[in-house]
Amino acid sequence: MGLLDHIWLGIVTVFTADPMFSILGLPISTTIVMVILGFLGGIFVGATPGIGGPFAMAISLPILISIFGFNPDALLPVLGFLVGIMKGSTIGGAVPAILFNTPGTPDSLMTTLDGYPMTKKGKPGKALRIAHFSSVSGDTFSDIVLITCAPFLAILVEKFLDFPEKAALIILSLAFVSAVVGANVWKGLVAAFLGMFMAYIGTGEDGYSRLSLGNDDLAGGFPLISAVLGVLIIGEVFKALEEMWREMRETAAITNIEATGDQKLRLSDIRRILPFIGISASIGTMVGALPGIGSTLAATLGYATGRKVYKGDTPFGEGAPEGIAATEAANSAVAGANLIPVLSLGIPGNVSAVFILLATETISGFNPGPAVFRLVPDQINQEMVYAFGLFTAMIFANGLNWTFGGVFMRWMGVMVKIPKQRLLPIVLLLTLTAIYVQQTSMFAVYVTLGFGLLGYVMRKLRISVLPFVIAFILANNLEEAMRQAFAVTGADPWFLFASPISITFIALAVVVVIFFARNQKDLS
Amino acid sequence: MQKAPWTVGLALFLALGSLLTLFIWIPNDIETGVIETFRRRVTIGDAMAPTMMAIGILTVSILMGVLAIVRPEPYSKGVKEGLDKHSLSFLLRLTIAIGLGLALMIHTGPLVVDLVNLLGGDLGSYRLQKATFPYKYIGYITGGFVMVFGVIRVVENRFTASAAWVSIFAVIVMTILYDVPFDNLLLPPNGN
Amino acid sequence: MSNLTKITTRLAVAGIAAAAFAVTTSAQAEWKPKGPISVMIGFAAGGGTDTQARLIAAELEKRRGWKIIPSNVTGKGGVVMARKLKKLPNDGLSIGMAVTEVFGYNMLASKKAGYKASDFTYVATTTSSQMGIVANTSKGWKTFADVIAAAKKGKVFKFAGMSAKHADINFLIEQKYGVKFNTVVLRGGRKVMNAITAGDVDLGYGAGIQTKAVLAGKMVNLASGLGERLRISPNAPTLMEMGIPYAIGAKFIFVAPAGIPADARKALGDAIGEVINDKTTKASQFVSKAYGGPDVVTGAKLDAYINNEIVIAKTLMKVMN
Repeated sequence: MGLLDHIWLGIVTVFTADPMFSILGLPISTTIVMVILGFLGGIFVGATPGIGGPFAMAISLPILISIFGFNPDALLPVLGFLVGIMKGSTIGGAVPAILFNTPGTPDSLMTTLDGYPMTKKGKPGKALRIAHFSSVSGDTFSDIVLITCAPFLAILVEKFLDFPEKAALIILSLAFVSAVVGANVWKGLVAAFLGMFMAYIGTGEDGYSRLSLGNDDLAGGFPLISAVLGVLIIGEVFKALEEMWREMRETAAITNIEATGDQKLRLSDIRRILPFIGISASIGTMVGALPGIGSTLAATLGYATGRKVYKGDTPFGEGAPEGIAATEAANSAVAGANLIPVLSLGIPGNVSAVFILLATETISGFNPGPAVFRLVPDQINQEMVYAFGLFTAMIFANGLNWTFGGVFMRWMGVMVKIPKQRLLPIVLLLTLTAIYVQQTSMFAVYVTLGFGLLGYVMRKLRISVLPFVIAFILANNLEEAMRQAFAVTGADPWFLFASPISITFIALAVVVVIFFARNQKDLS
Repeated sequence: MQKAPWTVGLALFLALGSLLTLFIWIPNDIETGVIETFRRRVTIGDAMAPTMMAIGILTVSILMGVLAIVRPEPYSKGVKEGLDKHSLSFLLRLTIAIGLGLALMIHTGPLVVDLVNLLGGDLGSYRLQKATFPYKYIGYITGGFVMVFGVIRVVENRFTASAAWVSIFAVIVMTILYDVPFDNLLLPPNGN
Repeated sequence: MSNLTKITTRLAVAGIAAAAFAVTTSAQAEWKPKGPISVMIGFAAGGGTDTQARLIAAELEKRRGWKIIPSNVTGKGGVVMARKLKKLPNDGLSIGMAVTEVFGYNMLASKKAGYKASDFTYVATTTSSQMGIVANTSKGWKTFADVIAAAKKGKVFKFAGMSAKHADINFLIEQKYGVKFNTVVLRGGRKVMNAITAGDVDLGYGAGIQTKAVLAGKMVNLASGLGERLRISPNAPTLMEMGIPYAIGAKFIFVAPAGIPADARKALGDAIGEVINDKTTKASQFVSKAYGGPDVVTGAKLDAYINNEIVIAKTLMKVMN
């Protein structure tokens, strides 16, 4: 059986297997229904600050498993739903970022930089359309790369990255983020070190959790979601509330913005943003294909590169549509490419991919690994059929995204009518509730508020929060990679400098920091 | 006159903090060293990563402080750094609103159950009722309402009926959103 | 209708089980929880332990009408959960799920575990791990003897374990055969599998997670860490046969704080056992697919099992020091 047979079988399976009901005699398969449901749910959770796509995936996976079971029949419906959430939440995340300066997901943090200024200028509708167009373009591009390159690319990438190179790559990523984002390289670096230090509290290999002060709650470490949402969302909520409070005291009124003027996405707009989408989609796809680096970094890189290339009138950070396009295309392009290492090696690169992997692990019949794409003469490789079924579900979700996504996304925008001083306190409670529901501990709520205060103070002192957050997320990966590299090299203290690739990564990290420190700019 | 007092202050604070961490916290609160030799196996100990981070913070904060004195960074117009007395006053108000909300969230349920017992009911402890309507909602709805309403009150600086309606509506919607479709999810404080 | 048959079979089996249960317990009134039962799962959501616990909980709700609330209390492979569980009231409304090592080796190996074996009442085990030493099939090894032979020629293999216990066992193997491994301890079975798949390590320990890959012919079980040979790889020798006198398998276990009422312990243990042993339940199918199938131990036998684990762990540690 050839490649084409497998592709065809994959498509057929998605559209015909196990029809749920039929419309005008046309049977609608369970998988298709699940993709649509996931997609709608994804837009909704993406647009709701505090509960991003990964959260929705985490909650729904156990529920889906209990509905569909562990048999291979369950694979495509469950994966379809997860893919739907993934795609929907990516575009949904831009909504609160643009309308309320509150990123719905960490990935859309950079979207606030130009999206919110555009809203302030009375162009929320246009900003949302730009975000949608860029996001879906980036996503589609990434999926095409995934489908055409998955088998070859991933095997190559993994071949050159062992434990030491992985550690070096994380160091390079962190150095880059600290140096590029924010007003001051040193503040960025301090934020990154601080983020990692926080992540090291209450963790470690020994039975006693290091630095936990003998406290049982701290012994499990700060919950990741509490730290990330605390600094990113609650910190921003505090700061925004304070600004409104000051405004209220001074003028006894709070300015809310009305949409004015042209809100449509014109051909001229598309022509303006298309180059930025192209660059960012490529960056996002490349970042996504590397195991261990996520969409937040892709968004940062896409935005930074876009700003370099940009020559227009409105500077980046003051409401340039190109800024939104550069961010959204990059962070959306990660999702598809991230499945390259998952499908061909079984190694996830970001949180969404983790849940896809968890699903394939719990349900039998599909073992991600190099054998997935192996052609056996005269036989059907059922795993390859599932892989192409998954691709089909992704393409179908993209179709939904192109056709209905924009409309649903703007429906979420009715929230702009709600006065912000009323909405933000609700966002606060919603975030705390979401965290409680996931962690079931008041400790996690207190930690979230604590990190929220930290995020507020960091904003006040003009320390960018992004290096802190990324460092917090990557800290344990880095330590693990270091420990493992040290152990597998037989305790070689120079393991980071043992191969040309890792030497290159480390050297690049140093160069990046020095370069940006010498070219100090005020970017905030 | 120092041009970037907050940056210098921050540098001092971080330098001091990292020194304390390096010489007091890490040695006393981590069981394994920087490098551990354990049964012929040489491994990286738990102290390695935090020590490296503390050294990193120390180095960078010194650099940052010195540079802020020697070569203050250029501010764009209108950018202010640091907290003033208004910020502190705002934080205090916010703390009261959130703190009150959380306290009610945790204690209202058990208090109501005690009250019912006192009036002749036989509910046992709150632990037994934490999955029973209406007790499982009392804490969350009261506390959540007070938190949202309180924070709106802080920002708007007055009590209004519409703010109260918005708050109660939001809390009820969230209760329904989380608790009704998902049998196994718990609203605060019922998981503790 | 296949579903209908399934349901009728299930009803029949449940009926028989219930009848049997009624006979054995008719003498005493059955224990009933006064409120919801909280289950603290010592591992992260989505993993094998979590899946089992939630499936069992759902089935118990259905069969017994108890309200069960699962939550995840992660950290140190179950140790943090144990420390918290210890402090909860012993009325049968708070139970935890972990692996037996949490009350054996892991507890003893930690300088500040914060609890002891007697702080708990052991309710029931569900299934046992399929602990094996695993490598990619492409390495060409058939059994662990091939690895030893290659290592004796001076090759130093990268060997991944999941806990300090595995590092200990590796040390014993090194001593016995005069070989050297670069042992690396990774957090969790999934990480070990990834490292093996990607070629970051040459071989590693798997607690059952390798089963699918082994059946698919991608990986091979080189040795069994259990007292007996692995079900799916009868050709792989046990570590004991290789002259390492330790069984390092573990069981998944429900525990409660020490001193819960005897009838509560019995009712909980029986109910869990009934669910796991009924082949029609999802919980039972899951443990059969991913682990060694139902393996329910309760009551005095379970206490003896835990005590024995502690004795073994202590001997292993004594040998090592």
